[in-house]
Amino acid sequence: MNAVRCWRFFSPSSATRSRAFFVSLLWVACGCGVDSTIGSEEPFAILGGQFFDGILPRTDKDDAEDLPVVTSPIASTLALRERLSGVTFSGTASSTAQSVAFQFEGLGSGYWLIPTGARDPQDPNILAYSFTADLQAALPAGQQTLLAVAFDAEGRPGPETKTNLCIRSLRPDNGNACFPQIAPPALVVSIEWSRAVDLDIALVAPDERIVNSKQPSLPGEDPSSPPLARLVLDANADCHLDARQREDIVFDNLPPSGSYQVYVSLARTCGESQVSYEASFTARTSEAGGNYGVRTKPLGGGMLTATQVNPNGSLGTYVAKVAVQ
Amino acid sequence: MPRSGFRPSRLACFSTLLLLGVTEGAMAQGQDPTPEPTAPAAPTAPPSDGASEADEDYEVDASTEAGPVPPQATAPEAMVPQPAAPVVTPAAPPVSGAVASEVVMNPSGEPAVPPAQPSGLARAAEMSPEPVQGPALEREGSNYRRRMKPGFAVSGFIQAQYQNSQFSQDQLNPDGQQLNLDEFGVRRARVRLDHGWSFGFATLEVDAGTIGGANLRLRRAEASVFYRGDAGLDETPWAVLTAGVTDVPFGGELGESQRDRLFMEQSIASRALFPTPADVGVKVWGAYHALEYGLAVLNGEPTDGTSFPSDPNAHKDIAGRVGFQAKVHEKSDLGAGASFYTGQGFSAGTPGSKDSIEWVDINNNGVVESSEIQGVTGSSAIPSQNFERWAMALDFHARLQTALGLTRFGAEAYLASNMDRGVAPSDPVVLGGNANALGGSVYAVQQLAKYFLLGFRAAYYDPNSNVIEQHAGDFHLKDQSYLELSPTVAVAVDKVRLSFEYDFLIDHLGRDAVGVPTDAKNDHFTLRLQVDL
Repeated sequence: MNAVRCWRFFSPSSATRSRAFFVSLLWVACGCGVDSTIGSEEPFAILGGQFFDGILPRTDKDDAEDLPVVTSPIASTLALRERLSGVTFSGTASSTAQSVAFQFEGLGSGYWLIPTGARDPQDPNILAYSFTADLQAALPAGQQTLLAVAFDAEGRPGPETKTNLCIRSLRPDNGNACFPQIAPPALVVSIEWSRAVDLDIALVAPDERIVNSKQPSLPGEDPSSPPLARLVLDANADCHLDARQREDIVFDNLPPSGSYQVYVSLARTCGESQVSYEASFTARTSEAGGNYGVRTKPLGGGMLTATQVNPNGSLGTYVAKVAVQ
Repeated sequence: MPRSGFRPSRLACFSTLLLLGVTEGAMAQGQDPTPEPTAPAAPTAPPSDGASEADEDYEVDASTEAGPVPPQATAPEAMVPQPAAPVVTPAAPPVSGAVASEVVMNPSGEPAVPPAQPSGLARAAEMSPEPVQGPALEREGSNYRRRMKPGFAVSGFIQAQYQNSQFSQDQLNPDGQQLNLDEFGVRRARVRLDHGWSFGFATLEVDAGTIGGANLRLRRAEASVFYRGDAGLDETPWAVLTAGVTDVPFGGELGESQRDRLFMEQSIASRALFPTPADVGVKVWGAYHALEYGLAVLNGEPTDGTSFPSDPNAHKDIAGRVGFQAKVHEKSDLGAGASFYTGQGFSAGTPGSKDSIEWVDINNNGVVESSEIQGVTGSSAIPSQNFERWAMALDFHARLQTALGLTRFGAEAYLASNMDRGVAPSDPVVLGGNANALGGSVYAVQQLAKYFLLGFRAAYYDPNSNVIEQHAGDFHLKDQSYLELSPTVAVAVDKVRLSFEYDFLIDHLGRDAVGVPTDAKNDHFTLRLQVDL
């Protein structure tokens, strides 16, 4: 809060107009000013918000009646997931709140701050606030706690408000990251890659049938039953970039035993010269109390260059095999 | 910190400046000094707030000015305390001076004294006050005075630099643009060709650079015919008609040579109104004794990083400036001018659309479900609109010889509406109201000893005095102003100049703990090496 202290010390309200210029010079000399980071390495980033390094200030007083309070923010979308962008949150704060700050508990190096906005037409003692945020790579899947604190005109923080948010995993897990009592798929084979290219995963079942972007499911013996395996998403298909850069083949139930071979194919480079990738599989596990968990194991990785483009949909480069027993 | 009203205090300041400017002008009539550079010259570029800075300058090269068929420029003498600098007052003491520029400029190597003997005011206007011993402050001088000598000349310069910004981050912004601003770069690399005849003059200048990405652009392509009147070959013709890519006659700073300017770029207000000093159009300009003038009809679309955008509307903008340069004392001179700009900007509409289907992944499972698909009916196009824009400016500058050397200082004030094209582009159609801007700058440059130059500039710019923000339930005028403080130091030897500038940018882009706009850390510095060709 160095910037805050600087601001208070040189507050224009305490300086006469004739001193304004000298105040500015002192401001410059003392190196005041707030960071102008976009916070791309933080768990989330608020559009138009101000980022401050450090722990979110809060009051420890129990009888902080004169301090501002803030309600839990409500997200505009039904479900949040890893790296979801453009999520609008809104809430209210007491009438003395000048600003509201947010931080995910235990994550990131600082907190974001926004000013409070309009008065509630129903109750003029309530101020509304809203912000649009991007959930970033540093915010892991699972139950996360968003802390909110309001500040009054003196910069004093009010009590902390906690909001539990379920951040769903990008890897298909049926919501298991937040709710362990929900069973995740029995097996998920995934590839993740480093650049914005159209990379495709392919999986060859023991019976030589293939699952890939052109044949996105592996039907079971009973055509009316759900497929044995399915490709969840053809990411960056035809270079329509979706910033996910991962593909998953999901077996909701344990597949027939045998060796499942994993291939990766560079369908289009989308202007990139090379890309590195990592393959992995995630298997369902049983845990105490009737809960479920997952166990992830890497399958290896590699690099593909523009000369290895494989637009014809053939299998591509062999990566590893997953033995199901 | 609620504010109310239209900042009467600032307007009062502005009108005071206006009055001062008028007064100075009136007092100065009848004499004029001013280094009369040879040909056009170039100013400097904008800061590195990020992104690229397209800029242009006025520059006239020494060689250009040099008379007919100049062999090659010989500026060196100017910088060194060489004995008896050619020209002017031989008896003058070894005062450091900057104005010796013109003298040195003569590419022919001859003492650059005006051949013709313009008398009185005219001669004063074209000559510098004193010979110089320190580094030259002006090799090309203001673009509003430009000699158009017969003959062919080639000139140019290179500005290579390292820049560093507090705003720099090793990231891309959400639009994919890089945020790193700490880099080596070539700010300007220019080659200019001038050829003059009895009544005609042609100038072609290209500019290359690497700031904001490699770029190569047309800086100047001027076809001119002129009537010299009684003006000598070393003086600005009475009347010149120029067509093509030319400089906008507005304000003093915009007409300054980018090669001469000690500061790295134009001040922030000047950069906002005119991101580049060049536009396409036709211009009538010239000088009569102490008086100088320029009137241009332009497309109104300044150059961008690599090219000239086409003019999106049929309306043409008009810019003009009238000013004077006078010698008020044996060792001092001053100049001032008033400028205006009026035209129409263009607010682009939106093309029509067809019916379409939109998928919103409500549960974020990556699977298209019927409840997540909705139809979007087509819409007709939103028409584009033109909007009025204008600007006016007053500029003042003066020079005087002191024991330390030549001192040069000046000030400029701007008032504008919907004219921002560089810092916070104005679009009243989008904003819902006019963006009334106020800006200005004051500066001083001092020669020190034989090789040093010191400078300081303070610049202010408020891109829109009418922005309202709702904060904590109340409406407030949102302060968006910038204060830029730029101390600069340079070492100059011969045609080489190494300069360093630190720009303290005090803005309102951040927010303090109570949500009030406050200064964000985005100071920057530039270390630049400039060598003239």
